[in-house]
Amino acid sequence: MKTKKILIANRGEIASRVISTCKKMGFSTVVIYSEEDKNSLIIDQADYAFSLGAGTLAETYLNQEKILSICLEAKVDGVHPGYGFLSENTDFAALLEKNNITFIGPRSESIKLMGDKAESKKFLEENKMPVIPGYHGEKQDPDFLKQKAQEIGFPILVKATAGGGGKGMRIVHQVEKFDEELIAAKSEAKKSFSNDTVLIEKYISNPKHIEVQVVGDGKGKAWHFYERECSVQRRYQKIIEESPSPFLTSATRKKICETGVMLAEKINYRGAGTIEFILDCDSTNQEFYFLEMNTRLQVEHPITEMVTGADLVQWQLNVAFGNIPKINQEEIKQLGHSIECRLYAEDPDNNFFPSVGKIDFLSDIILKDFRLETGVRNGDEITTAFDPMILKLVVWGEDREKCVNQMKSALERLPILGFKTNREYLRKCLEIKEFISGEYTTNLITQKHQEICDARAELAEDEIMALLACHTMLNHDGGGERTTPIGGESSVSVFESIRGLRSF
Amino acid sequence: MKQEILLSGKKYQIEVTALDQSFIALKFENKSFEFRIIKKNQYFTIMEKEGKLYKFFHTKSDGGFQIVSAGFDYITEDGKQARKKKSLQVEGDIVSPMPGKIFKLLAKAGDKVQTGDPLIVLEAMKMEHTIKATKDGVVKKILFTEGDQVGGKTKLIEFE
Repeated sequence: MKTKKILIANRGEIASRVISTCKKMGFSTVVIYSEEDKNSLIIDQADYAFSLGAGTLAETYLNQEKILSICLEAKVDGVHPGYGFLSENTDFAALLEKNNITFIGPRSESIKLMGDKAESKKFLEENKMPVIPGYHGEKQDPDFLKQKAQEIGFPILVKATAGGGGKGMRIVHQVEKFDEELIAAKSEAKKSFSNDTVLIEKYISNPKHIEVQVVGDGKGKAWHFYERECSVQRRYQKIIEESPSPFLTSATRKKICETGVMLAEKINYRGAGTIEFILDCDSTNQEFYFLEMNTRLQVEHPITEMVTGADLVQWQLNVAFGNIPKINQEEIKQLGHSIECRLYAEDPDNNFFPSVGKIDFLSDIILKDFRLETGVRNGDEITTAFDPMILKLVVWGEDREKCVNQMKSALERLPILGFKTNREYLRKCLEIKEFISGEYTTNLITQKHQEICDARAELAEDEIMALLACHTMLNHDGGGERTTPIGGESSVSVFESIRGLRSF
Repeated sequence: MKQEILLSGKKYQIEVTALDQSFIALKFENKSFEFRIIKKNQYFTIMEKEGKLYKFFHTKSDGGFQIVSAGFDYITEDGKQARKKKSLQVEGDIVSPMPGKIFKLLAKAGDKVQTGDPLIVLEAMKMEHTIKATKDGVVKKILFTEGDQVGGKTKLIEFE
């Protein structure tokens, strides 16, 4: 393929991730950055960087006109949107196509169809694919919705059709609470997505979140890259993901992956996408239902890359420029086990509220079969302006047990100074009985939160005394005030420790 | 030298009995703890007690330090300083629980409020958090306006 110039309409770790594949393919890269990101790592990594100026997200990373004008000025061939921001924005995809710039993602019509939860479910129902019993219609009269809820049977879920990340979502256990929760869900939906349409569906008490990675060629063929299990979630945010799922029987795995491919092929899907399913652990036959399709690269895509050896960004780029890989499904194998942990700048000792500050120290660990994905380096300022996820740890092991041990070791070797993170919380999650058995559900964190916090707080007396001694010593030394930032010129940037993709 | 140290909010009274560049001894609840300081630099300290090693990464934080090891992440604070900071606050005054942007002010000076009334909506990292009144009373002064960026533990509202 001819060398291309790619603009990455994103920031942080995902921008960095896309740059590394572009480099591998010999493509040149253009990044855009807002005032707050003017010293960010990706500016050094990319070939070209353009400022978006200062302002709100709407004025910077979501500013389609401005991004388009940069694309035209830089004469780029394509735009990779990363995840979040404009990655699932139909207008943006269409705007680029109109200007003869390739949007590295699906066609705008696929984004539109799958972005509307009600529409996508209707489509699946019509095509005899498994969906959760529910009401996804346009009629929003409260009494009518209540009646529908009663038909489905409580507990039910009220959810914003345009929603995501748990916003505009309510579980209702009994009919008496319905009106109240409906109002709350609608007002949240209105505020977050400026659209208060909700859907109602059966609530599954013990669900697993299983998703299938697919890539479509846009001409009716699709490949799957097996499943990811993303049931470790806190407040509807995934924190630990693994592949393969330790729970699925091989029959279910085959069925769920085939369902994903079937959907992608049915809509002539182009590019990388993820079909999310909810699996009912209480069912006798591992019943699963379609939840939604994300028409972008996911945060947790690296675990799939670790077990399949595929570079999903490379697949995206190839497919987007019409360079369809000549690979049969049978050639894509799922090998070993991979886990990802998401590190957030948040304080477990203060309600998990955001924690901000300057990264004073970030270890540059190097482990075998390990990826540290981040867009930050020592000295960077973490602010409240963006998402709190600052890095991802991805490890691979021959089997699940080895993989879990490897992840524990990686977490232990990653002290971060300057603000608080959920690092030890993640470490303790890996030690919960239900996690180890693999039989956990999305209720895991809700049910075990206190246990995890207690385990965190458990510290032997000698360790406490060592801590107090350390404090006293530092105080005595005048507070360890630094004259120069750590590392200085001799420090290895975090990025340099990122290991390449595994290949088999 | 008697000392009070807060470990992520929990108070410890210790007595430091010896301290030099290579050694520190302290007493806690009548028990003695002696640590040999093996290595220390700006951000890293290794101590040893009875053959066991303690490795800490550390940096200065507000009124103390952030001390991190393989398995934990603690904020230490000097007890005296923490008390001083607290004495500047009046009961009921609203302090930001996290850094963020004042998204919405739901009260104004002179308002009579009751415990639990929402006063401020704070926004950080795409999350919203409502701050509620912790006592019944009258709002004396609101120190910020909508859109302002505030730090963590910053006083936002004074009560009469």
